[in-house]
Amino acid sequence: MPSFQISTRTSLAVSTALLLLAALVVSARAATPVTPPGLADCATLEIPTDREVNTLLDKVNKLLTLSYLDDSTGSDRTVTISYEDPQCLARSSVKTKIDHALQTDRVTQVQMCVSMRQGIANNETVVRGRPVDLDAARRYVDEWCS
Amino acid sequence: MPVLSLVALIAASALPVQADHINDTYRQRGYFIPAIGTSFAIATTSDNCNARELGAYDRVDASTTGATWIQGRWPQGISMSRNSGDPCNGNVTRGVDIFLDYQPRATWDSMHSTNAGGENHSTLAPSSFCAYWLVNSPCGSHPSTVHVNLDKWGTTSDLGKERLIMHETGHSLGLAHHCTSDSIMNDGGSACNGGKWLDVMVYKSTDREGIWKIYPNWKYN
Repeated sequence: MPSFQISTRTSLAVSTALLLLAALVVSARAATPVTPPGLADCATLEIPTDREVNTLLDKVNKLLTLSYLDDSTGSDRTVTISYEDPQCLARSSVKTKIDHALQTDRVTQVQMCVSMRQGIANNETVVRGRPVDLDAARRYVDEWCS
Repeated sequence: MPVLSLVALIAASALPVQADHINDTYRQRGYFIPAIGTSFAIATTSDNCNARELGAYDRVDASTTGATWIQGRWPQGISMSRNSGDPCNGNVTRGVDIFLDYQPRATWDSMHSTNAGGENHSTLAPSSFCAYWLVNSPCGSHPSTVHVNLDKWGTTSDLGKERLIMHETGHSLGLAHHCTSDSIMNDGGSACNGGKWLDVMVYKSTDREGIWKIYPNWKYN
């Protein structure tokens, strides 16, 4: 019967190699962005082209929800992503939608700020027949119009 | 097919079909402020005011107005109109709920959506905006922008244009696409209930149910 005695030196070398391997795996995992729970993984996400894709922007949490009809199910597929996630920005089909949603928001945001400032300057406390809070309007301007 | 699967299929087909409108999809999307009142008045602005928009608003009003909820309607219906004093330049003010923004072909090409007729893009209203209207946060999204594909618009029939405005503003209200029965939210694709785009020119009961689900505080009678 062959002997499987392993020398102390060999054993040490193997242990060191295993430790190095484990360290490599851990560091590789740490380097890979982890998608937060509930968000779509942009590493594999593809947004279909040439169809209606509706979006909902959440600027407070920096999230973008995209919805489009999934032909295979006959109902909308809805995915939410972090729009500052480098993995999302690296995917062309996703970045296009992010850019468009942010640009669309910028257009309306600028006008909303003008309108809010006008309302404050004119001391308008009723809009469309409803009372409004001008202190909240000032907070809005402070938060979103600087 | 295994017997159990067959039994499950028969059982499932016997259940009432729940419209995907009334699931939680898009719960945070949509118009919200005056909807809390007794009338559902929606103010729009457009950078390309045209008669088809008004035709669409009339159709929405007619197909959502009714005496009782039995018909799935509301006493005053959904009233859509251009914002008072709107010069039709697409000026989005704090009183505007939906912005109809006609985008040239280049925009759609850049999004790889050359053949899409329209899209809806909304932003969740910040808490200060909700507070401005004296409502609690979260209070939905505001404003909602409808992008219309100007290139496609030019080659679309008048009916198709009105249908498109109804469909896209339906998204603004918070409705998802709907394919399991006749609906204004059919997207026109063959995979969506055969693509009944122009077959439905009104808000059907499933559309109204979806809206009621999104705005439960809106009293209908």
